[in-house]
Amino acid sequence: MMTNVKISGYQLALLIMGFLFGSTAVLNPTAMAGQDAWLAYILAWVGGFMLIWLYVRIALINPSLTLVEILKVTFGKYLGTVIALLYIWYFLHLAALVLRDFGEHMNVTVFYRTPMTFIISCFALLIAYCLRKGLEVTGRAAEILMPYLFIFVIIIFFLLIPEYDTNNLFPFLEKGLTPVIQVAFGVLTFPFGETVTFLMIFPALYSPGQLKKVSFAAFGVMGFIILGIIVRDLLSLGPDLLTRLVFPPSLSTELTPELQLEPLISVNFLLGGWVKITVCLYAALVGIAQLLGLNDYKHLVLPLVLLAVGLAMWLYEDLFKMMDWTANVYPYYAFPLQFGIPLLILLVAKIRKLA
Amino acid sequence: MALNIILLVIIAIIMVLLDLPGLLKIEKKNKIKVLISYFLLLLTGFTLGLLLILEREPVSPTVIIERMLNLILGIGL
Repeated sequence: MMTNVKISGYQLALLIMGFLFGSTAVLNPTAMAGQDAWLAYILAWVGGFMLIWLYVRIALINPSLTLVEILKVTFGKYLGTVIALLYIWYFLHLAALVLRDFGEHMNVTVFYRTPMTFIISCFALLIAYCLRKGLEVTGRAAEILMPYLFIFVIIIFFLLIPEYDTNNLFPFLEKGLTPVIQVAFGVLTFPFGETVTFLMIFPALYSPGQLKKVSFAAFGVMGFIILGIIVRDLLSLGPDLLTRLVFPPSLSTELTPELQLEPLISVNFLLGGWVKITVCLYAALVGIAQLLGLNDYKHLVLPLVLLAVGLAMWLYEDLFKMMDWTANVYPYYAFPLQFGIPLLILLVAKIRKLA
Repeated sequence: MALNIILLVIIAIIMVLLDLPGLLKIEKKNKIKVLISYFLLLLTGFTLGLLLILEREPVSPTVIIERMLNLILGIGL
């Protein structure tokens, strides 16, 4: 099944970049670090490079195997299947989380009176269509659409320059390093650690020799772009306002004189969110198909997307609960899946090699 | 509420009608497995949607995860 799917290095890089951009740039998870948001982000970014190194190592040790297959090889049929089920749940949950983020953002900023279920369902329909067409089509669509994301980010960054105030970066480390490290840990798990999902996609790369270069380049480029967004929001809004806002970029774009740029933020979220949810659901679908020994996952697309929509609506009572859970619970929930188990896989592989 | 339930039923029927030609073409070896997993996922999604419409949904997975982490880590998250 996976051997039939092939994407180019450029397409994989765009998928990784869109995935990282996802809801990160709209929610700004570093906001709680105030004026040190940029430092918290850079610390997380460095950690993110270590994580992607870990994932690439695992993929290179197990070429042409997806995470589900690697788990079975590493931990045996039964324990491997249990851990694989955990990952399939995680991918589905992650897709639902991003769907909900998208629904909340659209509800708050653009479609005030439209029911969130309708917004989420429309977006889910588009994703279902992509999943039915396959990963290659998503990759090709990313080639066409993702450049707009970069262009919009650059346009907004430069148009806001008159609003920047460098005093917003100071006082440096006012509350010490501990809060910065706490925020950095959160950012490490959202979005960097979430790229563990790509262990389900790496085998689809047409030239496996490019994997390391492509992954690191995508991490570097998108990491730099998100840093630009964080610095932009911090310089234009200031640390006090930044910590109080749910969607900081939506307000920072309002500052542009005589221009209404907020829709560009929504379009960017649409592009990044589309890539992220598609990748997550694709990973869940391939995982289910491989566990059941099916030849094709495409028959399961529509019921799984329906489940993801239901899950997105079920997850939280409101926007504030969502923000609280994402900041305080999610890092502890995701870290074992993003770092603990992949590290174990690598260690077991190394021990087997030595033995 | 009734309208929402009708809409949900229509969506589920459309999904099955869209997928049916493909489901019927699956090779015999995998047919049962695909059909079981297909209808299991569909039923789960449909039931969840129905419970949400009726406002009788069970405890959210985020709450369960939070409780489990509190239990395992022993800290108030």
